[in-house]
Amino acid sequence: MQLLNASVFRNIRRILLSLFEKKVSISNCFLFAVSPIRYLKKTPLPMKTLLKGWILDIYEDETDGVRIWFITEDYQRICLRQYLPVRFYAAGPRERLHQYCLAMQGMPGLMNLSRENKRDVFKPEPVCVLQIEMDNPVRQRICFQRLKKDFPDLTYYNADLAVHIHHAARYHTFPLAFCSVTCNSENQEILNLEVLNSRWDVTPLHPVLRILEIEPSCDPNKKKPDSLRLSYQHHAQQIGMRDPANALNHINQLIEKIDPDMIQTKWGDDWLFPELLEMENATGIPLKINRDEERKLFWKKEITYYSYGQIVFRGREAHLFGRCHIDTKNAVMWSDYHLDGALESARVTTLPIEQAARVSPGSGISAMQMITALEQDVLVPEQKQQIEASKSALDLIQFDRGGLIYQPRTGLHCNVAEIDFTSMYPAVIINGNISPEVPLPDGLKPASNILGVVPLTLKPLYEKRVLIKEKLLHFPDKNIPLAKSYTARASALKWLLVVCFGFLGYKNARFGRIEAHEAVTRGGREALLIAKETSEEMDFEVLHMFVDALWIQKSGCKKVSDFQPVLDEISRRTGMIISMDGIYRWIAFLPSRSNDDQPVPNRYFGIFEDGSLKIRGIEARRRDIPAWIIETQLEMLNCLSKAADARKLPDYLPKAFRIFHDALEAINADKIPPEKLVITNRISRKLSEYKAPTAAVRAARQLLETTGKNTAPGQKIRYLYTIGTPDVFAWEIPGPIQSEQIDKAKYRELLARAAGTILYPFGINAKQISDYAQGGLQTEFSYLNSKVERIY
Amino acid sequence: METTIELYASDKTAIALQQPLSCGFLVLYGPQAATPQLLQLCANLALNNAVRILDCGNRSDMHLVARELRGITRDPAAAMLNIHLSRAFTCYQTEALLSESRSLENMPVLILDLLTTFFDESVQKKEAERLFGNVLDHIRKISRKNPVLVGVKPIPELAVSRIDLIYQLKEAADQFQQLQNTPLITEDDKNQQLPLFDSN
Repeated sequence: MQLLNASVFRNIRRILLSLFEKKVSISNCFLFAVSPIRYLKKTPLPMKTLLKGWILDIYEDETDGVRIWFITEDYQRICLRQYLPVRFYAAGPRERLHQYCLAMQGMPGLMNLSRENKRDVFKPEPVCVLQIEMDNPVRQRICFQRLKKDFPDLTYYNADLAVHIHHAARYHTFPLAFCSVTCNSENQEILNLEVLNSRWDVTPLHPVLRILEIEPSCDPNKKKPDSLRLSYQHHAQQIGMRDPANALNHINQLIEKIDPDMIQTKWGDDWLFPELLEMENATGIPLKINRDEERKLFWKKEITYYSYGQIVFRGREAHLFGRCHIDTKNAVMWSDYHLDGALESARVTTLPIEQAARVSPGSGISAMQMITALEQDVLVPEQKQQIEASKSALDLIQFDRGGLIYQPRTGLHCNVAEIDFTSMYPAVIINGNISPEVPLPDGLKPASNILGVVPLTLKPLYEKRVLIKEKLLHFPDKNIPLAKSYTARASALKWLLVVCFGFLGYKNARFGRIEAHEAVTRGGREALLIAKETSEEMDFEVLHMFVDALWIQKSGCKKVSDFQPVLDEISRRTGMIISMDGIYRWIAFLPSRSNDDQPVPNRYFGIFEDGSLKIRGIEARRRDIPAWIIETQLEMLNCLSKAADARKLPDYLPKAFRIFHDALEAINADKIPPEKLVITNRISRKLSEYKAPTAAVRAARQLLETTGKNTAPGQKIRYLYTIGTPDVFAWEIPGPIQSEQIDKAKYRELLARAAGTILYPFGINAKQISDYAQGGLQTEFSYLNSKVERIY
Repeated sequence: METTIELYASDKTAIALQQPLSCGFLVLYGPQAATPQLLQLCANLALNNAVRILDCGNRSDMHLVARELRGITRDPAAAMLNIHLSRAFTCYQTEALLSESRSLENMPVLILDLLTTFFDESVQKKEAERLFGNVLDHIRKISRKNPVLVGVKPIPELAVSRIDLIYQLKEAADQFQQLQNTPLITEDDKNQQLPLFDSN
């Protein structure tokens, strides 16, 4: 910009002044004026290199535009750079836009200003906007942030998008995309990039990633680890932490030797990398963790936020350049779908692998919607400002409802089929074309044929999941690696589809609209009602309905083929896929713990025909229950699951009771390791805010007082119940806990509750079980037998 | 502008707000942003008049209004049709909603839980303050031709840095009523904000 002289600036000013007076584009002349060197300088033809490879990492760079790391076909790891100009938009009163144009004059990286008409999803007509083209994503971000302070009243579009979103929209790239690249072999600048596969490929080929795993010798929250375990492929080695210089040198050498694509750690974000950086400071030996040697470790700050009504804490994150770091202890969905699912999530959402592994699925859906919008030339608002249209109180009551629930008939039932709609809400969104910018349906039929941004985003995702699930059906053994991989990928896609509905009503969703959210639940209720009516017309008894699933029963129907006609008819009437989840040999729907006459939706356990167990809403599904109680309850259920049919249950009930009895004896005899008695709860507020502290809060305060370690809102606290004062013991307090300190009566009571849940359908009430647990009632096994016999 | 602060027992507030309401800007400060009181009032107003609800905290429990109406009219549905509401879920939407309501005339306007969206920590404090300034301007304009009742709740500790918003609201309001037994904004912050709710 320093090269521009005063006359050029005067020229710019004159053009800008006329810009919003005339409907003419000045893009070319402005381009010339602002960026003369790039367009005037004659450069010699570059030496071109053609290569093919997979994208591993992509990030912005102030000098290069973007840097992209590839794994080439011959397994080299190379970094190329690419020039990536980006555009953003501002809308508002003409005078303000004019002032904005003037303010833009001194901005480094400005390439072009022009006036455009663009589509805003929340407005019926195109909006007139100022288009600002910058030569580099970093400079675009800086420019936007700087000018927004002076022009907060303007409406901005495409202004805060991550670089991978711009890149994906322009080149259809995604993590592990297979690309054909032409580059300048002298300066490694990409001249042409073409993606050769698609993120929707069901069986994508990707390179074998070099994964280095690093794990401390113990949980660093419990005590300071004295060594690290580093493993690569089938080799592992232990590195002591007592000599920091030696440890750092060792790690650096190993990283140099292996050159990993991914560093997979446990507690890497909140302990390992901070520890290594401390060592670096203390020894002066640089930690060479990045592939891009010009870059330092990038820290993303910890945050506390609300998600689905729950306060969530996400710890800080250590990000690398040129390779990925995944801290499996700080990856939201890791326990559900591991690396295969994380890679699938990265592929379809285009989020960088490091990010896809850590963030909640909502961020992925958001990124996908933005890419769809950019591809459709629809503006992505920086802040959503559209408001809900006025409705009457009666309308609100009618529309603002959730999924449909029919309370179950409590007790034991035999030969019950559970049928459910495949990804019901995504199917309603796609079939009903529910999107903020299109007319909304009143039921299941779309009011418009042109697909909106939301269904356009979801359709390939939904179809991909259906195809993967179909592929899975061909694997009789679901434990072979390929089947496991498909299962993990299907799970990753499922979570993305699950959140897409909630995202329509999420306050910060760019393409959310509350009326669209309501239209989805309306469609869901409609579909479930059709399913119920169809079932009853075909003489099935509906025992329970829960949002997208029905439990149906008909005398004589025991096989899948017996239920197929009703499934086909429901699918025909709703236009949505409904499938058989399984047929239960027997299933028990449970009532409320406090009131036997009050059925509770989605609280049941049952055994499928193949002997597998399905449980919902009972202790074994809860995350705050000690492992010992979960294991005992599951053991009791597994024992009952051996009954070939309900008539055989009396043979197994005493055995199940014996499991409970043995567990009681074990706790009385101090045979349960303390770690199996640990209770985990989440803290939802600051510790100082609690007036009547729960056991979890008492434990968190104890931890703070003893070790100085605070438990932030959203973080979990682990503790045990103990005798006397204090009545809890925070698990992370260093040092062992003595068995005589443990409050066994409390644990017996918790166990009795869990056993009572299992035994309730057989006529044994909670009080009896509780009395037995505390030694007040001598229940005979024969008594139990008589109870069960009375049922049949 | 001098602000009147009166203390009311929670269950007496609706009675204290005598109908017909006159034009002006009244703030009710209490637990749950005084929503039960405002919805009770809403039911009474809707018997004979159209009422506009601008819900800024997802608090429009219309089942509660319906229950209230069942006790006072044979045709609660007709009264429910008199209530017109819109919801805002972000401070940007709150600002836009109030901006669109500037042209309202001769209609009681109830603004539920006005401040909640401005406590959103994903919006920078300066930006929240800018938008809130606009919001106050909109409310002043609306209150010239309509009775405007605004419900607000004690500020959560996480948002205590935005306490100025309550001061600004108090300054802008014609009346600022604090429901009895409403805790001060945060226990930790008592010393900093005594003047705000000191009824003397």
